[in-house]
Amino acid sequence: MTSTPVHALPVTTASPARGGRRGLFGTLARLESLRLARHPVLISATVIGLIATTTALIRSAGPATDEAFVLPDVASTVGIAAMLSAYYLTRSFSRADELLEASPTSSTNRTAALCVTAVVPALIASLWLVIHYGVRPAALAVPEWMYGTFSHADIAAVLVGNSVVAAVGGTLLGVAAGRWWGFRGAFAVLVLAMVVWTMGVLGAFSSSDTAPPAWTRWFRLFVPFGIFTSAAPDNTSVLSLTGSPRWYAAWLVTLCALAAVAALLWRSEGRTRRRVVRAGAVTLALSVLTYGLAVSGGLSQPVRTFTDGHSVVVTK
Amino acid sequence: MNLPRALGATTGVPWRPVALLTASGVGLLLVGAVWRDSPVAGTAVTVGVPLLAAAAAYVLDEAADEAVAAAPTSLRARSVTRLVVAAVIVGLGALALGVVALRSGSSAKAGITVQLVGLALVAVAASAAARRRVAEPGDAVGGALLALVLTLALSHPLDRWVSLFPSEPDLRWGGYVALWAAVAVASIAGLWVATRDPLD
Repeated sequence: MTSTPVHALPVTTASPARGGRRGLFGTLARLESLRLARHPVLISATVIGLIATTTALIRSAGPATDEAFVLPDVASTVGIAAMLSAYYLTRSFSRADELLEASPTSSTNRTAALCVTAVVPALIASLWLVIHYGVRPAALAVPEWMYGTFSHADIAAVLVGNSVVAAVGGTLLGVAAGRWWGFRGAFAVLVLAMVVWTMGVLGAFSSSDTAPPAWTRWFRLFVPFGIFTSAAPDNTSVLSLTGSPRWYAAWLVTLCALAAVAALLWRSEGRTRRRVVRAGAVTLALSVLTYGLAVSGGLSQPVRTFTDGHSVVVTK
Repeated sequence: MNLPRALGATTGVPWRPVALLTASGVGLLLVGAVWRDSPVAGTAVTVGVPLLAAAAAYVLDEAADEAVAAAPTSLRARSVTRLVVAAVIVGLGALALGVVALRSGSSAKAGITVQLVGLALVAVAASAAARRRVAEPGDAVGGALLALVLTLALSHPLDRWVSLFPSEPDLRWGGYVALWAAVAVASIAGLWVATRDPLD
C-alpha cells in the first residue's frame, strides 16, 4: 500500500471559489509558496546568509568590496537552499502521483504553480538589495574610483544578477530537477553540477595567470555567478574585468527561463507542449545571443584603476 | 552466492545512492589530490567531505521497516550493523584525505578527517531520529546536511569565532577540533537515544 503525502491533499482538494482555472492556479501557487517559505533548509540558509553578511560588514576595516560589488552570500546561501528546497518540494508529490493525476489540474499547471514559488526566494534575496541600497551601512560606502570603469548601473546589474536572479534560477532549476530526476541521491548530482559548473570554472578562469586570456574572456562568464571587479587585498587598486555586466544579467535571466521551460516540458501534451517547445527555442536563441553580447561587449581587456583615479590596461 | 544472505542485515541499505555519493565524494577528494596546486582543489575537498557524510545518511534507510521491525532483533543491534557501512564510507574518505595530505605535503589536510567523522555522525544521528517518522530519511537528511555545510563553507558566517573548515596549519585548529569533538559526542548521544526500541 502506498501512503499519500499530507501535502498532496490540499493540492488535490483545492477548489477555486471564484475565477475558475485561474483561481485554482492562484490557490496552488499560494499553497506551494507557503510550503517553500516554511522549508527548514531555506530558513536556515537565510539566517546563515544574514549572519555572514552582517559579520562581513562589521569586520571590514575599510569598504567591504565583496559585499559592495559581488554580493557573494546570497547565491551561496539562499540560492543553493532555494534549489534544494524546491527540489524536495517537487519530489514530495512523487508518491501521490496516481492521486494527483486524477485531480482536475494538469501536470503542467502544477509545475507552473511550483515555478511561481520562485517569488519567495526572490523576495528573500531582495532583502540584501534593501540592505545595500536602502540601509546603506558605512562598510558599503565605496569611493568612486573603486567602481573602476563600471557605472553604478553596471554594478547594480551584477548585484541583482547575483542575488534575486540567482535565487529565482536556483528555485526553477530545483523544480526542473525534481520533475525529471526521480532517482535517490539526485540532490547530490544537482549540487555537484552547480558547484563544479560555478566554482570549477571560476577557480580555473578567474585569474589571468592560470589560463590563456582568450579562454578567460569566454569561460569566466559561462557561470551563473558574475564577478566583474576584483579589489586588491589592501584596497589600493581595483581590477575591472572584461565583459558587459548588463548583458550578463540578461543572460542569467534567460537561464532562469530555460530552467522553467525544462520543468514545464515534463508530461506536457498536445498544444501546451508545442507552445512550451516554441518558447524554449526562442529562449535558447536569446540565451546564445545575450551570452555572446555579454562576452563581446564591455571591456575587451582588464583595466586596473588606482586610488588617484588613473587606470592602466592589463594586457596579461 | 546468495547476495542478500551474504549482506545480512545490511541488505536493505539503498546501495545505489550510497555508492553514487561515496564515489562522488572520494572522486572529488582525489581530484583535490591530483590537481593540488589548482584553485579547484580547495573546492573539491570542501564539497567532497559533505558528500561522503550525505552517503552515510542513507545507511539507516529501510524500505521494509514494518516487516523488519517484527524480526526478533533490537533496533539498536540492527542499527549497529548498518553503522559498519557508514564506518567503511568514513574509512574510504579518510584514506582519500590521507592521499590529499601526502600529495600536498600538508598534514593539516589530514586533519579534515575530524570534520568528516563529525559530519558522518551528525548524518547517521539525524537519520536515526528521522527514521521514527519516515522509513527512508536518507534523501532528506543527506540533502539538508549538504546544503547546510555548503552554505557554511561558502559564506563563512562563523569565521570570526571559530574555523569550521580549516585546511592550513596556521588556522585555529584547537577550536576546530574542540567544536567537531563536541558535535561528535552530541551526535553519538543522539544516536544512542534514537536507536532505543520504541517499547523499551
